[in-house]
Amino acid sequence: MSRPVGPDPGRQPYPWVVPDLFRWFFLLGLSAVGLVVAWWGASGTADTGTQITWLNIGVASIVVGGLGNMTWLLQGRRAVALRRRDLLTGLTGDVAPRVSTARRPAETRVAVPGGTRHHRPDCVAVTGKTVTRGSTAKHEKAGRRPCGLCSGG
Amino acid sequence: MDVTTWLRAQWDRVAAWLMIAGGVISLLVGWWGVSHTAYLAEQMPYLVSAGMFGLFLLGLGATTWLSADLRDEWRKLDEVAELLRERP
Repeated sequence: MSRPVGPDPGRQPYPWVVPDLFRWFFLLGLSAVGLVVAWWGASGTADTGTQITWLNIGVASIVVGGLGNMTWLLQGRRAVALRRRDLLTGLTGDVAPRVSTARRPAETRVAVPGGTRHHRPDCVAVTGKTVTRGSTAKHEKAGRRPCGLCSGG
Repeated sequence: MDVTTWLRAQWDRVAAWLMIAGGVISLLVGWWGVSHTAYLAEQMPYLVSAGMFGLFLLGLGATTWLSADLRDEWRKLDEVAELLRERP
């Protein structure tokens, strides 16, 4: 049975929410006002030193606008990434058990008497040896650990 | 798809292109103003107004364009989620 994944009822239609929009507009507005003020200041004087000051205000305004754009895009990217992760998590939840059972048809493990590891029956480490069969739990109870060759551990 | 429908669906990309075009025009106006005077005091207002406003519009246009891409990706994820939901 598949896990419910995807948009909840009433989920937002865009990667952003209204506060993100307000923050973006606020910083853009601040930037635009700063540019107008800088232009007004720079055009109202012939003194180069004073104009440089207004130029700096203009540069600062551009930086503020850039920050607004950057936070807007980062917020959008983060929302998309989280959404993608949610979907993949839902998929993994569905697929993982099937993969697990397909790759491990039986829980039977084998061990050499007196050995400290338990193995898959087809493990090369026990090929041609006399082994005892049992469940993983049984071998673990006997103090054996999974074989590093066939169990990846 | 007719033009009106396309414009309605892609309004943000259209706006992005308009802003980018406006930014380029603004930069050209700034360059024109600066190149027509040899006095720094007369050049500075062009730099601050047309030059910086052009940069502002270019940044805003690029952001709007990238926002449209993110919106498309968001809708695609909606479709994927819907397909997964309908899966038996």
